[in-house]
Amino acid sequence: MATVPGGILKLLKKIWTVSGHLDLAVAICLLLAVDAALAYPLIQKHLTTFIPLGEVGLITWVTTYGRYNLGHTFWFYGLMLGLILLGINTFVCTTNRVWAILGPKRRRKGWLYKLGPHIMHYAVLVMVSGYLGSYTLAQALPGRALIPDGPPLKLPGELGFLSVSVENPVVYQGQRLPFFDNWFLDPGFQLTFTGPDGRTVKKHVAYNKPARYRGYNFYLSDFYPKNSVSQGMAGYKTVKLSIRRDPAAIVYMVGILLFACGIIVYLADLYRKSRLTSAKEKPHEIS
Amino acid sequence: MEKILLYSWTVIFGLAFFLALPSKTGPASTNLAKLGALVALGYIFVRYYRAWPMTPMFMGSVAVAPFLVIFGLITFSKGSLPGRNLGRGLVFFLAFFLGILATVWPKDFYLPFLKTASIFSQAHLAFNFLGKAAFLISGIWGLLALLTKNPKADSQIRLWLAVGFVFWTMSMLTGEVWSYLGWGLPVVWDEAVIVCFMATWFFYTALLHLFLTGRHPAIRQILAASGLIWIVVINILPDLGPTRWPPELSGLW
Repeated sequence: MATVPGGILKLLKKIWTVSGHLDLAVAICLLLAVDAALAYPLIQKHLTTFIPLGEVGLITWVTTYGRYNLGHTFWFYGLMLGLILLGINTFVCTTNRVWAILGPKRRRKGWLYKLGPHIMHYAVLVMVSGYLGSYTLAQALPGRALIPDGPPLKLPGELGFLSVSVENPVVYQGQRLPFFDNWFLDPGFQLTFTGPDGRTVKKHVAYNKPARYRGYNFYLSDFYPKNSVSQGMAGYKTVKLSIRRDPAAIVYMVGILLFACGIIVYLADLYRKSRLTSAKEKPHEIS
Repeated sequence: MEKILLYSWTVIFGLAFFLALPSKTGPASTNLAKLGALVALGYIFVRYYRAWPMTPMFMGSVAVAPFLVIFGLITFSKGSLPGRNLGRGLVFFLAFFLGILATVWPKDFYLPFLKTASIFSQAHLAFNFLGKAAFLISGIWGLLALLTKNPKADSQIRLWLAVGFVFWTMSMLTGEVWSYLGWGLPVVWDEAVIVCFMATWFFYTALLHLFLTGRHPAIRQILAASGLIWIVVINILPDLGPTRWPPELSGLW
């Protein structure tokens, strides 16, 4: 078995130590803050360059919109670079500290409570990986417009056919904002999927309530008419759906849950410490 | 109704600030500030009541004031740390300043949109103004640390930084869940203000790490104090609308 020369090992150790240094994390975060702040007026002025990022995916966007508009997209490359460096730094720094807590013969009483901040750090890494996966792996089908109770739409692959009907719409009834009187809060769209085997599946879709079918999410993008009284232009009715398959969504959702767990463990540790402190102070109070 | 409440809480916070100008902050200014916070909470309630079940638009700045005052009264009311009276005066001034901004550059004319009828959208906004208020308090403590050279101010900066950071992160996470449910994306690039959220998160991540590890005391106090300017420029100014001067009085009654 070949052994690694001592010089290389020392160099690797040095790189590991430097890349996990806390001052580096602070410097990268401050640079990222400045970079993101600089981006505000650029996005404000060139919003149409950035909107397609969600539709075409990261790689296509970077090689088209991003590459040919560097005058106002340069900050995005800075953000990517900064996030990669911060990811490496966070991984190294957190792993060092977790090893110090969980390493052999190092576990002390209450070790679990000390993991709170580290769970949060790992959660951020999971979330950022999820975002990256979402922007690179997600598949977005071209936007679809359907007519309620109209002809079914052929979906790609094994998805079959899709038709839309309306059941039990919910109308705004508050009269607190006169503009919204008789508007649909939930237009009550039912999506009926008919698979290649002829089996039908019904799903409800509304704003913020996507319908899920065979790994694809169907989001309600828009609909007409908005108002239950007016029938729009010549009674024209339409439902616009955006259809996405995002295998990485679960990753950043897990990251969000992990972060929430980290906060709970951290708060539990603070509570435990405050109880320990008050227990230590009690004898003094009595005396 | 909203305008009466908005102008009222601005004037009340202004009076509280002017009464707090002498070095000894009497109970009058504190009581006025409590009244102002109640009126401002009423203003927020009316805005929410009108928009419900949707989320009222551009509340991120105007809704900061009452929470800033509540946090300020909590942190500057007890103890004997030097600069507490000055801190309270600064809180009242900032609340007054936010009221002036909302009065002269209002953005209260936007109707909410249907996609904001979500618990995650509501939570995103609520955590946002709680986070801003806590960050402003940490900024005031940072300024006091620089002015009074009191090392004990550090623990207060750290506390309010942590509170603000938790609120801000929760705001971002609930915003991401809302974005996923509404658009299928973790970040929607339809609004430039999304990068202001990120910028502030990075800024306070850096600052929080400096404070939690006790590194570079001078730099971290300067950065904490500069958080006041950061929040106003990066997170409050983008929420302002066109100039409306003199303030609109029609339809007040």
